[in-house]
Amino acid sequence: SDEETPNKLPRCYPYGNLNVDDLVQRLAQAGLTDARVEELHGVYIITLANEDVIIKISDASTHIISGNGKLREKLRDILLECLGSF
Amino acid sequence: LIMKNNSVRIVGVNEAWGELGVASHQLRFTERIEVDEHGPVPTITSSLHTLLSQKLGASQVQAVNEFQLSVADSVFINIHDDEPGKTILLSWTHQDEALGSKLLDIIRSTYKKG
Repeated sequence: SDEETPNKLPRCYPYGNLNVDDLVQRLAQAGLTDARVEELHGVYIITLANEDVIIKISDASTHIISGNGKLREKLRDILLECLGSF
Repeated sequence: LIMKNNSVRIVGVNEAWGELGVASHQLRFTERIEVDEHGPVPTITSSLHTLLSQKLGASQVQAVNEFQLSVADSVFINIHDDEPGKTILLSWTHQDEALGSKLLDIIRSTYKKG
């Protein structure tokens, strides 16, 4: 058996609110230009239909739902750029 | 590690949030993995349970019910019937990135399509 449990700590701890306009702009800079933004009761849903990705943003949390592992890491890095972190 | 008023202290992450006066922002990821498995969902849940127990250690993996597993009490795996195949949803937070991406690799390589 090759038992091993990753116990690496996260590289950083993100904080603060996400600026949706800033995020959409950074997505476009990364070539993801088909972002569709909807807002309902302060919750933003960004759909990248071509990439099979939905990003759900509320005050203190962001949820990335995706079927594309490669893009997930790129999106994660873009999100971390938008947030403060330590 | 916090530097404040010319002193340096080591505090836990949760305490640091209060000291810094900022709210943490939770990042959660859910990956959808479509798989060519035709058996009933409980059978797939059970074989995934066995596989992950071998890879990570049995104490790390819990069966929540017949279609859901949890790993280290923080990463969740849901198996859905999605005729003709199945869909596995793997969900974790940024703090569990190492474990989450490892599980994603294991599940992807185990249930590679075609």
